[in-house]
Amino acid sequence: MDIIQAIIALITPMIILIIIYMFGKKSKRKTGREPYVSGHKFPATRIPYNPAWLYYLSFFILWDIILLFILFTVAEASLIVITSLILLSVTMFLYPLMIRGGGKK
Amino acid sequence: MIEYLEFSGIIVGWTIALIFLAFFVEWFYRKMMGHMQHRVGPKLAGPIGVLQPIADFIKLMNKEQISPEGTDEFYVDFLAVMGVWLMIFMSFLLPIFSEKGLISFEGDVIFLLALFAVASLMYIITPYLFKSPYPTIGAGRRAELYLSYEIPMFLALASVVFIVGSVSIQDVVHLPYLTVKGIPAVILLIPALIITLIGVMARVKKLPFDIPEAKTELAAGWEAELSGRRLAFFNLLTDLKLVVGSGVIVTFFLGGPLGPMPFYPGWWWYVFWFLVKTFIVIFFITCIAASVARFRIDQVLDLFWRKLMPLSIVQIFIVLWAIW
Repeated sequence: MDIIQAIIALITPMIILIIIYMFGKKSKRKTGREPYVSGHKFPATRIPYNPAWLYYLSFFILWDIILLFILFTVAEASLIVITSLILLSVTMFLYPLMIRGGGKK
Repeated sequence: MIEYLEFSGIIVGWTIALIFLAFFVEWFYRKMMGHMQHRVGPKLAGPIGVLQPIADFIKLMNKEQISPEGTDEFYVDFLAVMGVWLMIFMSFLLPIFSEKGLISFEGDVIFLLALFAVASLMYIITPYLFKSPYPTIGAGRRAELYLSYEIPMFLALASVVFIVGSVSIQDVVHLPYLTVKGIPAVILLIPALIITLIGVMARVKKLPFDIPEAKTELAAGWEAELSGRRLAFFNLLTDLKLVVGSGVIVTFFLGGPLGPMPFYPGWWWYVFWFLVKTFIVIFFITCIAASVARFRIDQVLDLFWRKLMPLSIVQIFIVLWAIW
């Protein structure tokens, strides 16, 4: 597979999907933004959630993918694999404790 | 030039075929679910209701989309299209027409799994773009679910890669023919298969893992404010995820497109076996979904972090023992 085929594979489905999406009906009414789909009419609000978990999640996914690369490029058991597994084990035990601690607050 | 045109034709054909396959799988899931729960299921549109998902899609596309004030309209539209695109692009990597995917290179297993991880983000970021409480809570639940199933599932799939000793899908599909220390490799990988199956169910939000929706508690949760073409595309994304997720299980554990017979008369033979195996996996997922009630979020965390996570580490050590 060369670079042109890769570009074709990337772009072609996107074009098809955009065309299908454009066939869909857009919002025409000026008041189309209210009320909520759920039927209630109250001002838009965001619940006071600390979005820190979003950053944590981004970090986690990055860590996850890097770990995958390490795991897969090491075809045999080595210090890196063992260390990664220990890290995972520590994470496994810490995460439920964190959830429980959050619940008590 | 003709080679590129031919390749473009295959890509266009498969993209459209996959979308219709996703609709068929939704009908299959709903019909089987209906029968298992002593209901009829979809029956009005087309013979035995087979066109119902297409009718639903067209209906939603023709409905006006409504969103709360302050919604980031462009990014919601962008993520709706991007999510479906990611799933279609993932399907190019699956070995459907031959022992390798339409796109194939050394290390495509890593690329496949990375795309699978990124696709889940659409369900988490999109609800957060609405200034509405229900989707935000749904997104939080979805994030917790994601954090819990991701590592056990990827460790389970990593164990397959370890035992095969290759990061190429072309090699991974030969797993059922592999024997390690006199034991068939698939026997050694039964825990990994169970973990991956449960992980895929959590990924596609099928019962008992439909916590982010929780229609009775959260008014559909993360998708409460989705409507019109956005909802149509996110429904399509969920159907595609079921197809591609089942395809990943078939590729990693069930030999992909390789059938029990040694002869291969043509590409349709590969497609036939791949689809047969995929529908068996989907049927199995449907059976579990029809017979189990929804878990609470703490039960899901308990299942993944305290039960499947240790199991996946044990699986890794079993594999390390086998390949040493």
